[in-house]
Amino acid sequence: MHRAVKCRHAYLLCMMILLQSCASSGSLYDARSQFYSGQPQAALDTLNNEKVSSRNQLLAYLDHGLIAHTAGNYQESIDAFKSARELLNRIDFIGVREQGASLITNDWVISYKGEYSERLWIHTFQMMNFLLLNQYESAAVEARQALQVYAEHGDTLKNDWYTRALMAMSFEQAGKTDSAHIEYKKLINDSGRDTGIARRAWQNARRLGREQDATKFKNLISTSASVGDNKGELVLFLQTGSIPRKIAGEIYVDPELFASFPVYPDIPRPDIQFTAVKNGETVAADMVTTQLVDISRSALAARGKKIALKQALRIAAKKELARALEKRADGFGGLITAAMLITEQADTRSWETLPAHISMVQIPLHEGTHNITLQVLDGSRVFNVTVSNIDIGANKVTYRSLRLGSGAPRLISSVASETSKALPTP
Amino acid sequence: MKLLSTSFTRPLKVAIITAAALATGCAATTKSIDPNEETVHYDANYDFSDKKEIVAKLTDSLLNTTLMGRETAKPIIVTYGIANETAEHINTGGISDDIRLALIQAGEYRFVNRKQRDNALSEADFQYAGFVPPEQRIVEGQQLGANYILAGTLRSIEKNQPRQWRLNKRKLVYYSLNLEMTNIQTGEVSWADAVEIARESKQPIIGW
Repeated sequence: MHRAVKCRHAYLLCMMILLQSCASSGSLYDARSQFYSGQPQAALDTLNNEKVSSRNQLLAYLDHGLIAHTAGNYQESIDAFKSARELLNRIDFIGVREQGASLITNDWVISYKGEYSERLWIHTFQMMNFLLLNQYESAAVEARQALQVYAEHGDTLKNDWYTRALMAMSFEQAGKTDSAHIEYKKLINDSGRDTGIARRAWQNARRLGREQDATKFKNLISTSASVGDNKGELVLFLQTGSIPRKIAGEIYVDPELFASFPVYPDIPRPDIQFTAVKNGETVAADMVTTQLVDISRSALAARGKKIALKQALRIAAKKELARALEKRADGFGGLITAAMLITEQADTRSWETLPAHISMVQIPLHEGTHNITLQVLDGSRVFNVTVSNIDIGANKVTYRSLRLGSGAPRLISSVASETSKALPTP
Repeated sequence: MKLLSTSFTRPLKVAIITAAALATGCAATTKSIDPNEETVHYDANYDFSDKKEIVAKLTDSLLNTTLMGRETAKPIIVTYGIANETAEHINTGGISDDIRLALIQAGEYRFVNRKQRDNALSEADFQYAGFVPPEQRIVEGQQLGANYILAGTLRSIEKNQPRQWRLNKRKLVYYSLNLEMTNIQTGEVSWADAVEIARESKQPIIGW
């Protein structure tokens, strides 16, 4: 056996092991576990203090932003999502080194760049953060950035009614009623029904004097919620459950070689239902909801051709390498072929702290301080959440955000005392 | 033993050296830039060089205008900020602050400080609450009344190159800042001007 050949084999084996070893990030796993066990501050500490693999840095920023939002640290959430956007701008190119390495190992060695849906939801959470902080102009800036994502991936993301409603609302709050009208109208035209925003769209169209559109929107209104008589409004960003994780699908090319690719499990999950109660009486409200996994699945499918092409290239590269190594009877060939088989793993990384559903509950209320109880039916469980001391001003919108439901982290006491208390009923 | 060491040591050395070379990135560097001398654009987005250009052009325009009765008295201005209607988080307060600074330093205009009104009121209340000797208290009712409101809007239009086979992603960005002076008594827009900036940037699609 030539020394040079042994040298090449040892090099290849070491490279495969080296590249594979950095694929996972223990700190990310720890932070997510802490979050789901009701310790958001511990999760934030882990993300702040523990090192995360550079390939998973985007996921760390996304989780950080979402956990900080859930904990009510909206400015911290804004900063984390801003870092995520900056990172995406820096790594938005095809890295020859990473792509080359992934051809003999798997896609875990590539820096995670997020599905198109996840890139959009950075802006979704930023809009929520800015609205919660009453920074309406900044919320409108995020809405414009979300529009840029829609310009590129509109077909994939168009059924995200929640984000689209939020964009329109952000424009409305910043005084950009024209832009809001355009977004409301596009949303209603695409959905063909009241997704929970027909009332807002009608009011906004009337404000602009677009009587024809106003009449059209009014005819679609499906609830009795009304904001007349100088009423204000509570807008509640309600996040329930947790998004399913990507899993690996596998296709065997031959007994020793298979392709592994990411998929979202097809688990049917019913839409959430809710009732708002004030002083024992039901209060009329509108709700717009997006089941996030539907959008994620659609975004993953949009990358399907790229993933398939990459898999074909990887299979070809690995088969060719295995064939070349079979001719060498030095023991390295078998080792490297085995390593190639082991490293064939689907890249199932995703933003795992996302909720299953995200909803915007809009409850018109008279000026004053209110306590509202929400009864949320999520799957087979009913949650009663009391949102206390809501100050409503005439013709003003008050925003609150909370997360509950199956699979969600336990409600955080600091937030609970201020806004809500979840009592899962058997 | 020696045979084992000679057959494995060299391949391992090569592997370790290669891995070390791969793992080592370029060293970080930092250098100071004089904002008054250099125009630096790393990408098509708004940056401090743009702010400098906008402030210089609009300040010149305001100092050279013959409107607003500047021949007889210095106009008194209150600034209401610049609305950000772009798709970027731009602190437009920096633009209005710099314009105000340049105009004050030129001595051609007078400004009232809207942002400090609540603090001024609080300070006056404190002085009249018995803590300050009467002769040291400010005299109430002596605040300047503004003649004009200075306000504006920053807008942008962004265009990305359509998706196609290419080696670079091109991005075109157009910014416009409209600034206007509104006469508070008459509601008339007494002065208005605009600065426009258009820029193209390219970002490679393939990198190391």
